[in-house]
This record gives sequence, C-alpha cells and structure tokens, in this order.
Amino acid sequence: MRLEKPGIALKGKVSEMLSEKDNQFLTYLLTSTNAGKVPWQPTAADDQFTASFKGKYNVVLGTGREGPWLKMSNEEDQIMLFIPNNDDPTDRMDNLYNAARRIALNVDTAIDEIIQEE
Amino acid sequence: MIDLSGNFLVFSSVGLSPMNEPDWWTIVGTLASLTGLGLGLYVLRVAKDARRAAREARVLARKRNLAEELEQARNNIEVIGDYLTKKEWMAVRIRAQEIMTRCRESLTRWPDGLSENRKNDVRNVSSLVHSLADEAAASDAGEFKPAKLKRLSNIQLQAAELLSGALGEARNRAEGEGE
Repeated sequence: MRLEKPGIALKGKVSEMLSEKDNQFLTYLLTSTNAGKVPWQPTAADDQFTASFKGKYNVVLGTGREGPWLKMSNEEDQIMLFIPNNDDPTDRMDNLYNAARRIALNVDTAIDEIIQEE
Repeated sequence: MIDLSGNFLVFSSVGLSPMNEPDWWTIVGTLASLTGLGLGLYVLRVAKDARRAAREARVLARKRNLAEELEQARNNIEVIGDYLTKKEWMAVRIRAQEIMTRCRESLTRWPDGLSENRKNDVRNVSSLVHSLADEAAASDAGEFKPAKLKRLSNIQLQAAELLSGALGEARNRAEGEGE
C-alpha cells in the first residue's frame, strides 16, 4: 500500500513539500496582503518584512539567492514554520513578497506623491 | 420541670418569670446574642470587602507591572538609539536581547493585558529589534554607510513608536481599573 504524501495540485504541478494547511496559509496571506489588510513593516535587514497576527504570531518574509522565503514564529520566538520558495511550485511566494514590500515601503504613496508633483 | 399551669416555659422564653417579673439575665443574653450576630455580620462584610479590595489591588498591580515592563523595554529602545549613533554594535545586541525578552515576557505573563492590535505591535517590536541585533552582528557593521545607519535608526524609532502605543494602552487599562 502506497501512502500519499501531503500535496495539492496547483497550476498543473503538485507540491510534495507544502501541506494543505501551508497552502491555505500562503493563499490567505496573499489574498489579505493584496486587499491591504496586512500591515507589513520593513525591518533592519535590506530585504525582510514583518507582520504579526492574533497578538501571538509573527511572520517574516525575506528573499535570498533562491528566492523569497517565509518564516512564522510564536510568542516564544520559536520558529513554527519555514517555507522556502522552492517548496511552492506556484508564484505565490514571489507575489506575496512583492506585495508585502509594496506595503512596507509605502510604494503606492510614493507613486502618488510623484504623480501629483508632475 | 413541668409546671402545672404550663406557663413557666412561655414566660421564661420572653424574659418574664412566672411572677411576671422580667428575667434580666435572659434579656441581657438575648441582646448580647443579637449584638454578637450583628457584629459577626459586620465583620463578615468587612472581611469580604477587604478580600475584594485585595483582589482588585493584585489585578491592578499586575497591570502596573505590565506597564512597567513595557516602559523598561521602551527605555532600552531609546538607549539603542544612542548606541546606534555611537556605533557600539555589541551594546546594541545586548540591549536588543533584553528588549526581546521583555516583549516576550509581557505577552506570555499578561496575555489579556493588551488588545490584539497592541499585542501585534509588541510582537512586531520584537521582530524589528531582532533584525537590528542581526544587523549589528554583521561582520561589516563597522563599515555601514550613512544610508544604512539612517535605516537602522528609522527601525529603532519605529519600534519605539509601536512600544509607546502599547505602553499607553497598558497604562490606560491600569488607570481605568484603579479608579
């Protein structure tokens, strides 16, 4: 008997790394971020952004040589979840990272400012 | 003890002798019992009030401790600002560690001490300070350019602002419950 690995079909690909919950979480983060509901903030690192949820959980989005990654930790600063870009066959990690950076760095405000000056 | 007329017991129960004379000892005893009962009820009420006051004082003290904890964390963040200006990276890391510990303790010891938004802010402070500590530990920290130093300073200010908001709420709650 063959045991199925946790996976989900996404855009014709199957992720064998992310669980169903991880996928739900990524989708939730991306949807909420695009809706402007997540107040991402820049950190001291050049390419990392952070946001907290439910008064308990902290999520840091960063990027490295292999693309964006996501790290979630609890109140005790224990890392609960780490999702490297390679684990997600879709482009959600890229989209999430770019959307978070856009919010954290107030890109839209900057664009508005430039356009108004013009 | 059985009186032929059967009146003795009745009279004695109201403090009168069979001869229609008041039994003063019985009257005094009854009054003393009533006074004792009243005093007992009064003491019970006072004890209850005292216990409630003590409980409220403990709750208030816990809230004040949360405010003090957050205040100390905010003071440390201000100190980090000085260390960043002086480029004392080891000191930045030590203070950052203290702040992270205080933030963590604040959230775990007083889980109901702040609203969810303010708790998120405290978690963000911990994350921001963590990033400051990481940058301070970089091997090229001594060669940071002005733009980088300015960004670190901005992060420090951002953390201080978030913590001030949480501190304000903690104080408001403590004062509200103290009134």
